[in-house]
Amino acid sequence: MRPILRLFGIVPDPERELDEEIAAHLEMTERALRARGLSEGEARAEARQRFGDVRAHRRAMMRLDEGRWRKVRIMESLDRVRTTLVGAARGIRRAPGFSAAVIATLGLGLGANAVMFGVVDRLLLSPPQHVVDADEVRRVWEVRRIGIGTPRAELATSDYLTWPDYEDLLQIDGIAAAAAYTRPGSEVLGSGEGARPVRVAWSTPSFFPTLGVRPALGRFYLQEEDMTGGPTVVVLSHEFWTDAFGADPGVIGRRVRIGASDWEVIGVTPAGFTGAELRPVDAWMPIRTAGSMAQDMETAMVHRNWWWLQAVVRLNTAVPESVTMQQASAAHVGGRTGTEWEDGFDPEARLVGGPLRQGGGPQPSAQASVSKWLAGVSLVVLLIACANVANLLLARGVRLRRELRVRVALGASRGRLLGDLLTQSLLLSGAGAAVALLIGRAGGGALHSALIPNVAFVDTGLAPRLLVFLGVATVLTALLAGVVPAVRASRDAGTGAGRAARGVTQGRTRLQVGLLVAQGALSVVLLIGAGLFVRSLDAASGLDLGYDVDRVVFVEFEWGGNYAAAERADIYGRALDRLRRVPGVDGAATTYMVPFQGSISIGQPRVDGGEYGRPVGGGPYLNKVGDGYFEAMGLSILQGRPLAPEDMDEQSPPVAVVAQQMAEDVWAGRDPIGQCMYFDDDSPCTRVIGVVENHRRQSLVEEIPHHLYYVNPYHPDAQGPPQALMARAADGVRPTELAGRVAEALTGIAPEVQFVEARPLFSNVEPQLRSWRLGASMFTLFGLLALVVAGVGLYSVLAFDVAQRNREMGIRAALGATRNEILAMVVRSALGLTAIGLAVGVVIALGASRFLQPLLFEVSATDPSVYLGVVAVLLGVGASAAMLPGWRATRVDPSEALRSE
Amino acid sequence: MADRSPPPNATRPAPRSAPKRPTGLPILQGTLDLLVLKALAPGPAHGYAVAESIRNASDEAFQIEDGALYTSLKRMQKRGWLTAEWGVSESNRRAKYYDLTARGRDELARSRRQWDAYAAAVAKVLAS
Repeated sequence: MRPILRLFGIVPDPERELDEEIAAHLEMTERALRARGLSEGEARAEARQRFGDVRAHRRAMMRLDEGRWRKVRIMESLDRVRTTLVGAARGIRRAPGFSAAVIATLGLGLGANAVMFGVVDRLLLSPPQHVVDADEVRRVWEVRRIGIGTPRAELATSDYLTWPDYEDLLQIDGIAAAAAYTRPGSEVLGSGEGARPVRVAWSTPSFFPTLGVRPALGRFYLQEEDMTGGPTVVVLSHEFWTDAFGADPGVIGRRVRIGASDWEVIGVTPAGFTGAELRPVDAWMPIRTAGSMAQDMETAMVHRNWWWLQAVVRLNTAVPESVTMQQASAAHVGGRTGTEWEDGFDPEARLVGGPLRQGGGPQPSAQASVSKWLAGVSLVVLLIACANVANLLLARGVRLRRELRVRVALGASRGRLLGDLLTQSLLLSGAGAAVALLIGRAGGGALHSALIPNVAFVDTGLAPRLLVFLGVATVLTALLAGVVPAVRASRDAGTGAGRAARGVTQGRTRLQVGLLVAQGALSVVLLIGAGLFVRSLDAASGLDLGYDVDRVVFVEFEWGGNYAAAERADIYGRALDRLRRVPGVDGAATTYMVPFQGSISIGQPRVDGGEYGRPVGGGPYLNKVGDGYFEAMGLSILQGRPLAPEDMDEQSPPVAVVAQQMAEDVWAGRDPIGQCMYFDDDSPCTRVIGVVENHRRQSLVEEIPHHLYYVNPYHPDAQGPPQALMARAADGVRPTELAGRVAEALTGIAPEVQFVEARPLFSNVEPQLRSWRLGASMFTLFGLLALVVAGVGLYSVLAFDVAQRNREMGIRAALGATRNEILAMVVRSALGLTAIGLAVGVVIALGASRFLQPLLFEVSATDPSVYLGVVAVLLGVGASAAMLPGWRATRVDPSEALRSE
Repeated sequence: MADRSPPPNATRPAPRSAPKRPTGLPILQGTLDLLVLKALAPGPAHGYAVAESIRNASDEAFQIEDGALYTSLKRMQKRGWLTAEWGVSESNRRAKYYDLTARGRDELARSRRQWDAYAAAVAKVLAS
């Protein structure tokens, strides 16, 4: 580039120009003097005499030019950088196989980190978007002992609060602003054909100013709009507005049907806004207006045991946070003192402020914890990649020795060689980073949608934070992998000349062996982690929930208005008839509650001849189900009989089916069948007619709850018609498929039904499997990646080793070693390396097991079968990596190997 | 990758002959600048021509090394009084031609006045 610029006079070379000018002057003086008759020698001497000390004057002139000189020097060093880069690029091009291996290895290692950085950045490092001064904002958590009075009392942390609790927060001095909100629930936008689900969250009007967010369009709702029977106004998320309304600004002021009412769109949130958490929300509604349409808001606003909302506060920074939270805790307990809610409430309950980051707060999500591990794992993958590349570079350094020696002989300094070699690894690492960006984009999207669907990720393209992270990682990687090989190669070029000249080189060095062992050990750790997570996922998804969670489809109706109970019951009856005739349905029933979707806990009934204590797993939980429910759900009746159609007649005597746990706890040692329960003082005996097997209520990791199925007369807490239908898939029918068929069959069952939603029951359980699924998939992916990288690394070092020891192999063959013996020798050395790596890896894994245990499900972090499996896999990989080089070693022709020197 | 050879250094080492005792008058730096500016007043000239012109005009009265003259040229170029440009000399040789800038002309007038005043003052003192 510079010669071209100089051609246009843009970059003069002052030193050269000065010399030319001085030379011209001397020449002209000489010519003039000779014209006066001086001899050539005299003229030259006189010209010099007249000029004075050339060096001194030249130096003086150059000093004058200092500024210009500096610029030139910069240009020159740029020039040198360019030549170095060109040289390095040429070196990379000259060894395409080697370069491709390095770029691919680093690309995968950096790519894994790019993907995980996106996740970690979202879950652990950044607050939700559009929150102003997020470090002043806290989510409010409650820490208290629950189950007081039972043997299993324990400290529990939750972010659910009651409405009076929220109102208490408003009175605290240290709280500048407070807001209540709910997690998004599913509703339906529109009706009939074009209807679509919409995730609706409720919030107080103070929610938006507390977070500091401003609307992208229109406005947010006002204090006076939030009341029972208030105006139905709704704020849409930017994403939903774009998706459902084509980002039409004219949507402001339009009324849209959501659920059973029309809502006026008054505003749109900025893109990427998800409130105080990361769950995607499509629409925001004023909490009291919307709440009064869905629940008894009058009660909800005074009830201190209806935990239905989350709170977020902005702290007054003038007050220490500890003081603020202390006051809030005091109000939290004080508000219950002397009321009906005091009983059983922990008097030492406290409120704790947690940051908005999902990974922060007293109860970080399991996904966030797993992500933290996965970020560590991706770093380990990168370390393995570095070790592997270092090994490749070491081998390459040996191969380059002759060339480097020639350069040293031509006068290149060691520093220069070092710089060139490091530049080369930087270039390779940079190319790897480009690959990583591609992987990061593709892999990030797949990871987000498949494994973390409950977090709104914003596609920010080439996020600056990611680029900075990747840039730093790239340089560190290049140095980590490149420094030692470069130092070795440049040193060897200077000193190891004699040996290299004869083409005799030592085999693998101790350093190479160390790197191989490290790779093996780290792969072992990752594979053990993968095994543990896979087994956890296995255990969790294979967990016997009681019912056949993967055989059942449930159906819910979205009603287009408020219809009388009898009317709804009638429609459910017709729907059930139709549902039972849908092909692929093997039994169906109505129900009041859907598992994993909430439950009704009722007061303990009085029982004859016994005390009904507080059940450990809570309850009893009431459900009211139709005929055929237990068969459809796959729940076995252990004793007695299930509920029959004749029990459901209002004239028939009240009967109930109870869960096994309840039968054991309440009527220990006695036959539960025929026992009486009384729900209040003047109610008749409700007789137990059957015992159903235990089943879960809402969590994979809960104590076995007391379930109570009770039909007639309707318990006051379970009034009204059914709320859902359950259908069992026949053998060989996939529930997802059946759900579609069922929704289609029931759509249009009645004009009152606005929308039919049918989903596999598994979809209710699935979110609880996410953290294990995330861990299992990513650990496995990264573990396999590490295994491949380590295996290829072992192979390449062995191959190189065999090639270097050609002569030795030849001699061995000449001395009578059989091919099998030579092959065994290579395999043995591979297995030896693998075994050391295994030993180190197992020790590391055992050391880390303690920390991993809380993230696992019913699997010990030292599970022997996982460890043994990994040992077997690794030995297999080690042996296979040795096969090809070993076979090559047997092919060495003794006479040729000996002659080749 | 081949190493770049060190940049060619055009300076030939000056012969270390014993410095002859200079004849002629020593000269102050500011005065030299004035002489150079004056020599360039008629139009652009290369360094050799400037040296010749001063030498001839003063009947070789001053003891000025050509090197010092070049330093003066560079110094004034840096100050923006002169511009320099490559051209071809009478003998068809590439040479650098210096020319006065507007500021250079101002400077020439200014130092000339100063010099006149100085010389007049000295003369007055000596004549008293």
